[in-house]
Amino acid sequence: MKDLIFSSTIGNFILNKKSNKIKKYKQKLKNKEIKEGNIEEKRQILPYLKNKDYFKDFIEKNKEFTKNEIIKSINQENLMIQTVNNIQEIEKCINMLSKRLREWYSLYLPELDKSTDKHEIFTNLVLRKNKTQLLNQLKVKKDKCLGKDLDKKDINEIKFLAGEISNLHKLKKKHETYLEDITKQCMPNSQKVAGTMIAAKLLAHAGTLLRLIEFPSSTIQLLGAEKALFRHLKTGARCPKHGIIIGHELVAKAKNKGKMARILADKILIAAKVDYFKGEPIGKTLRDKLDKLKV
Amino acid sequence: MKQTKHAKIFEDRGRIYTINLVKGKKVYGERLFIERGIEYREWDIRRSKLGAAIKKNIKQLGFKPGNVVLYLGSASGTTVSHVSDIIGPKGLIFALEFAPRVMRDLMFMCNDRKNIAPILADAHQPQKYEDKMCMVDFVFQDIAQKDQAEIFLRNCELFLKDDGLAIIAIKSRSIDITKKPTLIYKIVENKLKEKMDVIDFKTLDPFERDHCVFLCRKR
Repeated sequence: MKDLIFSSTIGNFILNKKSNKIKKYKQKLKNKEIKEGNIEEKRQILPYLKNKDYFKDFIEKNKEFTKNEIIKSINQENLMIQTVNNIQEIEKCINMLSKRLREWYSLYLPELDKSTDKHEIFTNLVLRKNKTQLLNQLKVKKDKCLGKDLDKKDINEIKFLAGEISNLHKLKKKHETYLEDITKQCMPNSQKVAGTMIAAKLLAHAGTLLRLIEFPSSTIQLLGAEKALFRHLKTGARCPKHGIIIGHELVAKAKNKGKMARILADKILIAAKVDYFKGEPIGKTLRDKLDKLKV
Repeated sequence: MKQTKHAKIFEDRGRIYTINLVKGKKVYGERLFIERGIEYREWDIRRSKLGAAIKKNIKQLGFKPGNVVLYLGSASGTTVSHVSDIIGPKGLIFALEFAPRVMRDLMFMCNDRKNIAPILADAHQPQKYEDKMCMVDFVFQDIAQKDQAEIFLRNCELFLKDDGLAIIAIKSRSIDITKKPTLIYKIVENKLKEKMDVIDFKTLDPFERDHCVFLCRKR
């Protein structure tokens, strides 16, 4: 019988099988000598390590190791996820603040609120033009306007808010170009098939690219529709057909959305797998196939 | 402040406390409480399944001051901090967690508390982190996974000492959402009974919905 060598972070140990005695192994290990023991053998060695003298080593070594692992785990995917999440949060902020801006500005000039649905255009009009210009543009006579003439001080306060909203729009645009850039490096094929935002959102949902490609395509089809899915499983309500990928242009314009969502999810998964294993670019051919489909 | 039947755990007006190992420092925004010069830390039972199990009067806790504990699924260290209080500076906790994000929070806590050894690894594969471990007196598992009972048994088989105690917290909703919790508890109990003796069983209602804990002893 040969001796068993157990290599631990706090040093190497050797178990003599004949006498069942354990010693610290001082020599350097050669690759050949490291052997996998069975559970019984390991259980003979492990109690020996449960020694107060080793505790400090365990803590130090494990902390060092974990620190390196944490640093190693941060990659481009994390950056993508943070960016896409922030874009979504900025969108929420813009909506919230823009609603307030519309209400507030309507005290002064209510006609402008109805003229446009787009928050960005509205904000820019508030910022750049004064009341007379806007009334001319909207073709409303000044004596028919429903708003009250406010002091300059009061209007300035509204304009500060409009300025901040406009800054948020700029920040969002910067984020979007940045996201497109890193998605091109990290998930080029998925980007071609699904588009930047959807590819990034799917990644954010899965957590890592590895987890995303381990999903079946039916899961990808329903990512983002968890609430409806579990309602379906629990109560037998109608099942959801699409999650995040409803935002994709092909699904949105398709007549049979469920069918299109299924096909698209399938192709996204193929592309994502190619992205993960860094294979030959396949995104464009997949996208062309999808474009030709009539669903 | 009254001593409960478990070592180093105290009770006062329905709330449970442990003695703070690092004076004046909070871990997760809990209340600190000083009585006769000793600083106590409140154990938030709504955020900690082990705390809830104590509140539900579990028979035995399984670890004492100075013990070595394996904690599977430590997350950011809410419960780990209390276990660290109990086992004190002479004990050791192996806190295992898979997600790097929450491990970061745990690492900050490790700098204050000198009895925690963090391990960033997947609990499915004990052989991947066996070189970072030693034999332990107690295993606690709080992992919401489909095969959490198997993970628990695999870890106990390798790391738990003979006749050692272990607690597993089951989240029935992550095992099967369509089945009734009571049915899942039965299935898990049968699985555990194959390799260990089940000593105690407690559901964690109303603190945690559809959760339960099993106290097991290794054969």
